[in-house]
Amino acid sequence: MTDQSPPERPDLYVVARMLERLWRENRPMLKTRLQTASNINYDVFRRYLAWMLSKGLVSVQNCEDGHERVSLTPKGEESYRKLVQWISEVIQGRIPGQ
Amino acid sequence: MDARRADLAFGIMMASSLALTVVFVVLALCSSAVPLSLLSGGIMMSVWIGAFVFFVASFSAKFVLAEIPVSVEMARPVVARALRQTGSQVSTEGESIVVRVDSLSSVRLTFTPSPKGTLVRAQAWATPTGWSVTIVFLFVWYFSIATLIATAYIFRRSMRHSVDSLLPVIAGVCVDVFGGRELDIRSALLEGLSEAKRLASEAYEGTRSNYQDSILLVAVGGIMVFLISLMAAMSDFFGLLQGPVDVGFGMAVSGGLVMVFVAAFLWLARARYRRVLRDLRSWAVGLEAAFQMESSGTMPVDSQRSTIEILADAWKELPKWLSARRKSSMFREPGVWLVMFALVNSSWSFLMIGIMALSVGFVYGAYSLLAGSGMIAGAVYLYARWRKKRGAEDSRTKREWTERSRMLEDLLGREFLRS
Repeated sequence: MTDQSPPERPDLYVVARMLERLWRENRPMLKTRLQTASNINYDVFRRYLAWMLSKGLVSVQNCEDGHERVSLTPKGEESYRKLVQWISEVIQGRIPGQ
Repeated sequence: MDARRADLAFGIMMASSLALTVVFVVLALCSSAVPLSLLSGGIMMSVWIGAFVFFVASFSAKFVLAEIPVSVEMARPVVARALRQTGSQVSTEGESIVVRVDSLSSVRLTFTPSPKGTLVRAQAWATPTGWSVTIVFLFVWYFSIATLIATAYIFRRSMRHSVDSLLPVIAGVCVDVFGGRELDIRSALLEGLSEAKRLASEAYEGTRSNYQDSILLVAVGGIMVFLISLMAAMSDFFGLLQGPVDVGFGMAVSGGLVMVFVAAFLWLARARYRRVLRDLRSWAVGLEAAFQMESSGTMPVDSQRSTIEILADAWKELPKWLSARRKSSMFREPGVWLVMFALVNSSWSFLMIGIMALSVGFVYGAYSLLAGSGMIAGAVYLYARWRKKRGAEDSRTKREWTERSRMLEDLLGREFLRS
């Protein structure tokens, strides 16, 4: 599955959407569930998942029921937090990241 | 300050201004030297003085709301952040913060050092619409009683909101949570949504106000076109008609011209504002819904856009919103507009007196004309200065936005796109 080629320059909207879904769920999500919740087609999803795995933002676990589940790593949660905070700061007229 | 003290302050100020009004009315009535024709003017003047005193007192008085154990520099962002997270529309104005209550009323919070940290004081304040209503009423003599009512409404709403809604939040500000530490994700989402919602709502209201102003101008213009064309038709100004002119004919010509004038300008105004208003409203409503969803912790359905996408899109819309807000910011500086309104309002009387005096050969009327013209020139100068300042602020905002966007993109690139 993760042998899909990652996107060269990923769309941050898609990355943010996937991170947000995982953050909201607060537990490992079935891959198909994450794909549906992220509102992207399966091919795109696989490529983005591969990219996020390579960056250490998410991890994939094989569960006892035979399904693969995706969960947010601490690095992924921290990246999402930074993303939200920076955008929020810019909207508030502040300098991001300071 | 508690609710009882807010009510007491309101009662004292209202009673003082009414007492002042009554004193002036009694003085006017008791003065036997005053002719009857001037008596009504004296009573109106008394009501106006009462309204003016109440207006000034209401918007100047500050009441201690709370004392928080942090420095002034820290208190301001901490309080603003806490209020934003409860959904309040908070804007910073210099050293103070302004919290919107309703379409007319706001609360201005000021911060001063105290032995225990910072004293937070509440002051009744108005929204741009609130300022425009009170200032216009104040300077149109016949409506001075309406100033009293509008000011009383704003004052009472502001004070009640301070006590009932702001005080619990400010008193509960937890410095350990906010003080300099990194925000948690939900708090950051709520803050961003709250601020975006405020900017979109203000842009919508400002644009709608401009649209309504343009309709008002069209109506005034229509009346003027009607009167001028009626006079022109009745006097056969262009020499097109031979013989006496029928009143009905004159009215029909004028009416037709007015309809064409009004229809053309309304169409132009609608074409200019309709789409912008629809977009801004849709943004304001969408952000409010997102804020409610986020604050209640509801899980979004799959087809819904994620909050981070909404925020990212809002960030791209910001220059448009800021520009729309600034275009309608005539009453954001109530002091300047108060002076401008006073100058224009007074110049009218001076000009009329001057023209009337000159028309009966009273040469001192020229001085009155000169004074009226000077006031008009002063108002024009203030307006030009305000426009220039607005333009400079617009350019600065765009520059800052571009710079911050570049910094944000750089940060995002470093965090996500580079290995």
